[in-house]
Amino acid sequence: MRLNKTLKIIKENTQLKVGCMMLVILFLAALLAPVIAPHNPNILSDDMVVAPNMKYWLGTDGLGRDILSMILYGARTSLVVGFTAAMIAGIIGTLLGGFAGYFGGRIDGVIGEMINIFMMMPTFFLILIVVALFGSGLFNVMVVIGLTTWVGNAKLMRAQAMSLRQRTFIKSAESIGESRMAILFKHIIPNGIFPIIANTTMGVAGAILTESSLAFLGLGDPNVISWGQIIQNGKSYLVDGWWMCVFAGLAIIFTVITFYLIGDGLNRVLSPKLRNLGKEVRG
Amino acid sequence: MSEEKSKGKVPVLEVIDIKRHYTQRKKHLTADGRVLKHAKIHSVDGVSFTLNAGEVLGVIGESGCGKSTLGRLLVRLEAPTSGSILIAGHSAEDLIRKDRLNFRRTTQMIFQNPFDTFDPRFSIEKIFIDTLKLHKIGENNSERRKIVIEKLESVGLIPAESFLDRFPHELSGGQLQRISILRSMMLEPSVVVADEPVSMLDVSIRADIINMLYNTAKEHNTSLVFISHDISTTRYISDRIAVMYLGRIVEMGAADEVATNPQHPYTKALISNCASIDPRSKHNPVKLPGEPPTPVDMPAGCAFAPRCPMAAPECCKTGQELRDFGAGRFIRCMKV
Repeated sequence: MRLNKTLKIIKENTQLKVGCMMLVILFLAALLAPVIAPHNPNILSDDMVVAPNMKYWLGTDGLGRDILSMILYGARTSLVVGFTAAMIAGIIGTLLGGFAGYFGGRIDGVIGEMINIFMMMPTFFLILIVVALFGSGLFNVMVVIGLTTWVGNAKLMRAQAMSLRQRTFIKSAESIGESRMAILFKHIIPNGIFPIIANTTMGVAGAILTESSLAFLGLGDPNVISWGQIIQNGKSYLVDGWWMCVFAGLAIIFTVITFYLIGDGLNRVLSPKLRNLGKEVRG
Repeated sequence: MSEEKSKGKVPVLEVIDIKRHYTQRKKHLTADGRVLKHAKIHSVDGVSFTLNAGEVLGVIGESGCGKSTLGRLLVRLEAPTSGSILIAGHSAEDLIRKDRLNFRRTTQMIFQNPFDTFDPRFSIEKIFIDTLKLHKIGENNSERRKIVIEKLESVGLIPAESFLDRFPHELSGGQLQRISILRSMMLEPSVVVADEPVSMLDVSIRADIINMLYNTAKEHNTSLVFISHDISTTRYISDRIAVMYLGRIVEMGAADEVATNPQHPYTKALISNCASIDPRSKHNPVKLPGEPPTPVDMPAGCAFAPRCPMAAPECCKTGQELRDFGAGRFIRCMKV
């Protein structure tokens, strides 16, 4: 019943429909990488810098690794980094924004200043410094991306909370005796979360891009295969082996577009005008 | 009514000179061209009254006279700037600090907009069960469910089971307002503030809702503060009426007395402008010039003097006290 309605909404929205299909492809690629990858991405073969052919569909890199297999395994890295970082950013942003918007006053002042500081900061360079100082493990990269990109979510949630706290049902919950904390988590956040969901989905794309950029600069986790890393390795072969950078780059573009489409689609579906439709899904 | 008064114990609700001032963020331009920074808006400016058990007090006045703010102060959705509210002789401030839930049980509010009173994501069942759970009424959810069904059926929401699974947006305003009243009454409050409870409802069901509110209040001997701008409804439901103008009570007394024999010039104008259903009845409304001013930068004298048809020069000089005229009648006018 609920699933049917969700499917109906996805079908009616082109962005969501296309985005979801692309997401399914991505997930399958990441999940089934060991099954469908034609070669082991870590094995260095003697076929180095081989152009795409029937054996190596997307060619090999300078160390003789199969690009297609690397891209499939790299999808795992990208998705894990993207989701974890976006989730961290989403949770921090929602909590801080919710507190600021609902409680107001001094709490709002402090959090508001934090938001301003993080907005001014050149985030990417901050990430660079942190990764350079504390090492470039995948965990570090995810956490630091999450910790620096929550600002947008916080601003959205703050605005939502500020408008929601004027609504009668919040006053009614107060007068019935619910504590302010309970109201924040039970009424304010669940009712104001929709734009954050859409924004976080786009945040996944941003995090994947950031991770790729870090890897491209040589600050990625050297122990995992990632798309940025493939491009970095392929950079020196750009003239003789265009396929290394191009296919990994296409994979990044594909993923980013996927999450932007879903984010945009969600934005449209969950916007106030169509809120009733969204409510039915949740209801 | 009078026999309840004569029991004469501690009143359920005693309001002593409460004020609620808001500071304006923007600069305020006064009528005579001065610019005020951080102007104070005197939304409620010194209101005092007492309310006995089971009594119904109607509060009437124009939009912006502070009656809704007064309501919110009474149920402590906002803290007053100064003054105190005593509930059965105890300061509301202490009560809420000591035991918030207990205080919330004693004072309840019925809101103007029933369509927005409940979280749109919650079913009616969850709304009720959550409230009961919060106040530790009922042992378990099946018992609570039984209580809710019984209550729903008692106010004509039949079959009750069919309402439990529904969501607020699937119900009509009248049904929602019944549920709102029911939920508040379930906590057995001693004071209920109803802030224009029927103004957003269809005319055809207003009387039903008012009657339900009145009857449930009488049943539990609950005092009611009925805030409205509809004079005839207020007269119908209230024992006493307080008329507010610019954050102050200008006249208070027994409902019929105030409605049929208004003394304060503002009340006179208000009552005379109230439409009568009888076309033959004598009807010559008093016209008041201008609009009620914003309660910023209040005049030194009587707040109503600039619009008052009876105003004399001395009215603008000295402030007016709410004078006791006996038999529970209070009027704030030097001309009476």
